[in-house]
Amino acid sequence: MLPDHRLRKRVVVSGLGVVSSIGTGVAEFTEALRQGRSGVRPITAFDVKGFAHTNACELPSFVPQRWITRLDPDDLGRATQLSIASTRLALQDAGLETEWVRQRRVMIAVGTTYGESGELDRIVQGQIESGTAEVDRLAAAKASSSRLSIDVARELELTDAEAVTIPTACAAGNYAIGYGFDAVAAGEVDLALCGGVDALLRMTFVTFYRLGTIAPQVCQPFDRDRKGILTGEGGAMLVLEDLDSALSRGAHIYAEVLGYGLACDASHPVAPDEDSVARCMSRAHANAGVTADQVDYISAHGTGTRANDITEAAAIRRVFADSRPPVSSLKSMLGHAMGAASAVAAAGCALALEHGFIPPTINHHETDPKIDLDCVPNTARLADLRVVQNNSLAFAGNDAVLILGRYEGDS
Amino acid sequence: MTETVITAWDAYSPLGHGAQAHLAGLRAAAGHPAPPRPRIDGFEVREVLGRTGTRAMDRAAGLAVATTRRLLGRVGTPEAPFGDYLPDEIGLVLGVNDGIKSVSDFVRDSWTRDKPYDVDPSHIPRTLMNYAAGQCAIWHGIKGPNATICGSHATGLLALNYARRLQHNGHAKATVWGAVDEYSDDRAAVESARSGHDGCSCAEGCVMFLLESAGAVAEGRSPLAAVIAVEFGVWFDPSGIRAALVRCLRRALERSGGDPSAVYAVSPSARGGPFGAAEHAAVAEVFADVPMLTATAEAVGNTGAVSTAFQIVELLTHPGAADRIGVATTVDAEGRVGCALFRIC
Repeated sequence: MLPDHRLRKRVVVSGLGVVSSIGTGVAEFTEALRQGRSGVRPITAFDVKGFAHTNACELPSFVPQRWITRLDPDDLGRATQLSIASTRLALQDAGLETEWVRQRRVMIAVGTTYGESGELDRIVQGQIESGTAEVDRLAAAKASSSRLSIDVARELELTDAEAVTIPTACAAGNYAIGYGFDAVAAGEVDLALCGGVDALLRMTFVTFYRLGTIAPQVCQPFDRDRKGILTGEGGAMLVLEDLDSALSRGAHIYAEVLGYGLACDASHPVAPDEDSVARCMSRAHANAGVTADQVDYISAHGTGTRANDITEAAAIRRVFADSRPPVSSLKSMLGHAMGAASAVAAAGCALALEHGFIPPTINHHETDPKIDLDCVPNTARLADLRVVQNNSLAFAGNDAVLILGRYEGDS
Repeated sequence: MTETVITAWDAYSPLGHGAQAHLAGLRAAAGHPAPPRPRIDGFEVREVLGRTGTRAMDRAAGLAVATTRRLLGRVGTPEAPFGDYLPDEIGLVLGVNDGIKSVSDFVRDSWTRDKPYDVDPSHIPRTLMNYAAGQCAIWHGIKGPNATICGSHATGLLALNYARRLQHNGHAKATVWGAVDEYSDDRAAVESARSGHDGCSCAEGCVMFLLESAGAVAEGRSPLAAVIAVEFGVWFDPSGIRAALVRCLRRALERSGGDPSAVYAVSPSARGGPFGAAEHAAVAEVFADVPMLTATAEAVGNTGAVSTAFQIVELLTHPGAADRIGVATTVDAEGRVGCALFRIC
């Protein structure tokens, strides 16, 4: 089942667009990762009356008008706004003029968990308040998660584009990046704009609150005293192109996409499964043509719930045996930005390769002895990274693991 | 590169439970104009799938699980449910749109009960758009890649392309792929508000296909059609739909080396109104007076995410098409155009 690597074009990451609770744009985001900044703050996105814990990793400010110029931002849901903003940032970072992009075959793949479900919440709230069955027309138009991808094409006026939304929950960012990789590697598109977005929604908060997995204050992945997740929001879009294209236009290359793996545990709608996570990592290694001992760093799914962290760590120990690399969780800083999470983490991995450091797991006091991994506590670490792995696990047993490598020229 | 072929399909539609009933319903409806039938009569999730593990299952997931069960019944045996394939060699790709009812019910509970978090935890999984695909995997033990794809009316073609690429890059040897949409009053209300027309004709259904590499098709099963091109484009203003679809069709012909004179029929999304007119005009511009297959849309109405999958079924089951090319086209209200070319086997 292995792909024939000789038939595959080499694919590189040549642009990053990040909108996150700890920084927007590559410079801010990189600095935040190095410093181990926390994005936690009290929720302002919705009324928190009735909830005992009310922290989240909300964007401190997000002005869609800065990024959205052709479409009217008021006609777009927040997730769609984040998708366009992240893409604009990524193109800018890649040094690509939209006119150049318009001449290319493009894939736009946007992963998400909740998409524009927030607009459905708005519709229902309106119905309850008015005591009617009336549907707010603007909210109805916005309440379409398929717009996350197509509105990027409309904003940028791309005509030869395949715009697809990939709602594979909390692994969606990795799915979208993997899909962009497949399309570029096969020579079917010139450019993939891919990643993930999610807005901070009341519905998400209700969901995880009901499941008893919202942490009261901070997110502490792998810590003995970890108390759960914090919900978050944001977006990250990556520009992928084949190596020749990037070289010929003198593009800055952050990293090479070596491959990815997908697997489904087919056992439980919400609980992760060790066998499946291990299998997914092994599939990613095989697809990328690397062995476990070559992996220098793992960006964990690391949500900070008891179940996730135990299961993921056990799967890592099983696959990596005696060659366990350092493992950290960006969710300690960013909270769980749902469908954006693995895309933002993939951007973090590309920056880690580029600058030679490992982002820390912050809020870490004492590693849970059952975890038994080097969690890179609290402080970023300098490291000579060649191959890094980005894990993501999702409800419905959707696991996706992405492998990035340092690009070292034509050696 | 070995060809990618469709080797089996099955469906639930308002015309019937299962492929044969659906086709019989299509034949019976031909030439007898009647109001569209949006709902699948007699499809109650707990009656079709039983009472275990279905208490909180929504209609879309129930349809996807039931249709996948019928499809796998054509492929394997109880001992070898996937024929020659192992459970982790099979991918599952499901096209969906937003689960409007499941999300609305969930947030309605949150707004109306004593506490905002006083919601039924068993209702949580179905508020996620990947719930139905996950249920298909759980019910049928499909352990390969499991993906959910969303793109308005182009969803089915986007799911097909996703499945095709999974196989080409070695992530799966074969893929169960398709699309599903459920009818609900909540969806009808949202779609009516979106379109500005009362009484949306939205309908439900599910189609699942098996996609394989031509060289790997087991004895006893034969290719129905080879996928020779899947292409997409974008329009910015309704006046540009025709030109966008013409470009998309020409790219598909060019990139696949397909001969327009080999095309025996086109199955358009047949949405009616200005979108439908633009779609027909584009098809006529590229293929002149080719037959248009629109029976499902006429009999059932707007099947949303699953519409292109029903169009593909029409192409696959059209008599006398062997070795010729069938084309499915789509135009969605958000900006996508798309087409897929199949060489019928």
